[in-house]
Amino acid sequence: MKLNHFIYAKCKTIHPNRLLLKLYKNKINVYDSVYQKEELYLKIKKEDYERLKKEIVTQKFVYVSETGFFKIKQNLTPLRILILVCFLLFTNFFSQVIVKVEVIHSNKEIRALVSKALESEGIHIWSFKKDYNTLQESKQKILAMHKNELEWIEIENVGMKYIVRIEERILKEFPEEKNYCHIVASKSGIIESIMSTKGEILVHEGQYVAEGEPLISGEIKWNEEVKDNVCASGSVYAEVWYETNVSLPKDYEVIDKTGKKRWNFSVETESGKYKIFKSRLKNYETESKMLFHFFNFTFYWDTEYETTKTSGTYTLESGTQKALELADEKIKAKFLENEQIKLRKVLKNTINDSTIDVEIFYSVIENIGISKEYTIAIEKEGS
Amino acid sequence: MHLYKTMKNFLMDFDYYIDLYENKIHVFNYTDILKLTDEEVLLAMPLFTLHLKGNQLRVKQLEKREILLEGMIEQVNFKR
Repeated sequence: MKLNHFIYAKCKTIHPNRLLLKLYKNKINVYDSVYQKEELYLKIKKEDYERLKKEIVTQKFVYVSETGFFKIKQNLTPLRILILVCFLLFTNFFSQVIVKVEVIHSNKEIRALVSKALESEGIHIWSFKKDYNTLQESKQKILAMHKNELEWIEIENVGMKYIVRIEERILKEFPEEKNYCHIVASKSGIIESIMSTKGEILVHEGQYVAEGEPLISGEIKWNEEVKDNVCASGSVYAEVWYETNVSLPKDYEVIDKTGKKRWNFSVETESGKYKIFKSRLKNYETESKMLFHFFNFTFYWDTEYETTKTSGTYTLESGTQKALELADEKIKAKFLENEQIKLRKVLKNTINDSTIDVEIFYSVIENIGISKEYTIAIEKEGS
Repeated sequence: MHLYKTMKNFLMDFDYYIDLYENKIHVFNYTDILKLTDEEVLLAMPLFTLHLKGNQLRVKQLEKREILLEGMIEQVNFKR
């Protein structure tokens, strides 16, 4: 493609229109003209300029400048090209330099540890960017170097800085074994079963034990003589007793799903969650499933289940039954492994104007053994 | 804009068009410049003669079939 070569030329005249008419007669196109200080500046093709200098001899045309690409070409001196190349090289060189290494973690010590490890791998400010493979190697090395402190590390290159994200390795601390301890009863009760992993069993099944009484001793005896001391461990299940009071209102409401459901959409913003369409159900419960995020908005697909409310009043029997269920839940919530309710009995139930009060007795099998440290006196020789 | 107008003219097969602006007039497909002064311009069009009157009329752009004039335009007449 051949570029049109335009130039600016000027000509001194006090009748610019007459001169332009002359150009028209000579079939010379004028692409721009400016008249100032008795001089007419013309943007014309270079070949037309050569022609008009020959054909219009009554006027003196002077070359002013090039335009467009040719003007740039004219201005590009070797020195300017050299400066431009140097500038591009410098920009390219500088863009390969890291000006900031940002380690993101809440723990100051971990940040310092990782910063030091990164420096040892040559990742620090005013260093060159590393290629992908080198970064991967560095990450592996850092993780291997601090395997007890770091779980995971990610080095992200954003512009001229590295953002380092880390996950701290949290080692689960096992409880330190106490020096010497007995297993004692945390509550009074009748022993159901005993299992000792360390120590000497002091009680037997069916025996009543009071609170604080030793169950498994840390003292290992032989012929009534203490041969060794350990930290006793094991589990002692015993039957213990509770009395609990439950008070519940006589009137109640039950919410049931009718089986009818409708679809809807909702959007969650910082200010809250809003339905996109008005719900067609009067009373309903909503289950939401997230669809996608868009900037600060989260869109959900909602399923609305129609519900109905039923009101009722407890009788003494039904109220007592409900109170038993609630009390069971409360007791079972505290249970650990192998603990269970052995016996349950209503001691007293009364119906008032607005409430039903129930007093319940529980016999429960639970682990009553707790560890209790003890110290031994070291006898000095010769004393 | 020029490209758009050329295409429009090509597609709609106009013989000519004249665009009048605040202090400019653009004439496309004139056949001859009969008179060109600071106060008066006379352009021969395919079917009529366009007569412009004004003050400080100057040719801004001049090509074989197009002309763009600048200045205070006071009257635009044409005669068949």
